[in-house]
Amino acid sequence: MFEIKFKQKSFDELLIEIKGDISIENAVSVNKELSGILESQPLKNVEVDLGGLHYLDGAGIAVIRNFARNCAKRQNMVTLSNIPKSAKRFLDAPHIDIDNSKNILKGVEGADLVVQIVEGIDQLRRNAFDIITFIGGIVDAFWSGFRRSISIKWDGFTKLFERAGVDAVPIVVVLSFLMGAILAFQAAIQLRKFGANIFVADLVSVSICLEMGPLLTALIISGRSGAGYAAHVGSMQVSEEIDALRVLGIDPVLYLVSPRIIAVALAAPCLTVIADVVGIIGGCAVAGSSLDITPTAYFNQVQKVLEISDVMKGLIKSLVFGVEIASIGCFRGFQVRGGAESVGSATTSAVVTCIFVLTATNALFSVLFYYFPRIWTF
Amino acid sequence: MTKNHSIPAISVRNVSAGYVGEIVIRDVSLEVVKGEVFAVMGRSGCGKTTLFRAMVGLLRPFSGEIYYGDEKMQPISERPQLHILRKLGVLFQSGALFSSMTVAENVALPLRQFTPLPQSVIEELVCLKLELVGLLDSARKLPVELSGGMQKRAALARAMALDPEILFFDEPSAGLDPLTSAELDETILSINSSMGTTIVVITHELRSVFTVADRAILLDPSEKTIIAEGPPEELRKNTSDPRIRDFFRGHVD
Repeated sequence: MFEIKFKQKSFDELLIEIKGDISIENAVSVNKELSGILESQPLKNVEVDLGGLHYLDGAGIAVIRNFARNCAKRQNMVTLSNIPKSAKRFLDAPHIDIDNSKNILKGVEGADLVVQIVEGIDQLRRNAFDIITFIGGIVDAFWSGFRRSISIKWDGFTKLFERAGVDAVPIVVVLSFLMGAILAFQAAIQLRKFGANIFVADLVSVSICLEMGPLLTALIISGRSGAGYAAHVGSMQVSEEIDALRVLGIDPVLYLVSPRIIAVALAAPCLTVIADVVGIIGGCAVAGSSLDITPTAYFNQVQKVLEISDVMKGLIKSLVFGVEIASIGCFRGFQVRGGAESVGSATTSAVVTCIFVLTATNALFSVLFYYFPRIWTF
Repeated sequence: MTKNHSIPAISVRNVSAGYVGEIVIRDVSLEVVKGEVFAVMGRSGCGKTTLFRAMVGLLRPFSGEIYYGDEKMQPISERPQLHILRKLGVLFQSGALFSSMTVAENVALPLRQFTPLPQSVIEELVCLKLELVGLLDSARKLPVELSGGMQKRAALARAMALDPEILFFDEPSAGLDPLTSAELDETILSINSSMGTTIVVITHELRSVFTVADRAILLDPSEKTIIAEGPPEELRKNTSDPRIRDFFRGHVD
């Protein structure tokens, strides 16, 4: 409980007496009352008598200091009298006058536009430099591992392969089945008009094996493994584990990145094969139910139209995608500086970079396969 | 300094706790008196941190109860009791500052969450707390830009933001040089004497125990329970137990 009384001492002097307890519980109402007095009685010098206070905690001191500062802002003199002993060091006049502490909770103002642009360019330059260094590091790690024919002890490589590959099978199966079904369904609507029902098998099998299978699988892997590696390596960076590896004389790229690249590069084509098969089956299911094509007819048609080279093209793509995803994930992890927030943004940018790079590579492959259509023939 | 020895601020009754498949402390009972500085001592791995985590509600004890005043503390994960938690301030071993916020924002966080105070008063209060730990000049810095000792002090400012009745320090001197840790001990004492805050210090640092603690307990890793209790000076002097003697002498016979 608290009590605030004020009275006019002389025509320009106000005496405020605060009694009772001010704690964090009632600090808000004390603050309101005090600022009310300040509003109603402007242009007065103020003396605050704290003699009647029994209890004053940090919040109370803050309220009184805030009041004193507001008075000072209006060019009014403030004197605090009978300050409780425990609060003396915080309520002495010189403390209140010092205004060095203002706005500590405000964010730093944004820099000039030109400065921001220059900083952005510099950031880009450093990023590019980092990427090249990192790619060099990976090549070097593989090369030196190969030359010295070190039997690198990749701890838990099987575990990595399991996490990146086997664990992803259910989601790959579900999504590629749906993707095949959707493709077949959309095609069915159009093809039925021409009585070209059977060509649904061509459309589904070729587009799944060439494009949708590898890309869908790669997107799933970048969401699972790419993001996971970025977060894992990033946390290791934060907790100085990467530094510990370096000091132990273990190359972190060789130890962490190369097994991950190989694991994902192996897992991606395997998953793509599964996606291809399940996607075609998904197409078959829709073709059977809405176009009255028997499974036998469907698969006969698939066998006629689908070439080994189509499947191989997709698998080569997914191998490259796998290398890219693992590298990008680890790279973003190595870029982490600071704490939890940085790990979060590394994970985000790993996925975004993956999606961009995958799409760009896919476009490159389309051009490549256009000029070399028979990349794989028996 | 007069201390009221009648009202226990915390009482731990027959608590056994640990982790899956492993019991770390067995049947521990203790009482922390209002306004005292209480130290929990012991070698590494004796269950100091387990006891601390059980006391603040982060760990569910296998059996036994923890009371704050006359209220039973439930594990935070099951039913957080905000009115008890608001009375507690905890300084974690590593500081546990939020790395995406500046020091000032870290201290302001509990104030903004739990009080309707206007921004200007919160700012004033943040200044006050940072002044108390001597970090006003670093208010705008991010935690990563601070040294270990400064991070601890910033975390202390955050722990004290709501003027807690009880402050926990988990290994306050871990990773600090002797001078900085002595300064932190001074701060502990001045908080205790100026605001009457009850303080629980979990530590293995003998010097710190002798400087700050009114009473202490010693946990033993093989017994998994308390083997000694009392003012630290008395524990050192009057003992025939070799385990206690070794702990205080700092070497094994």
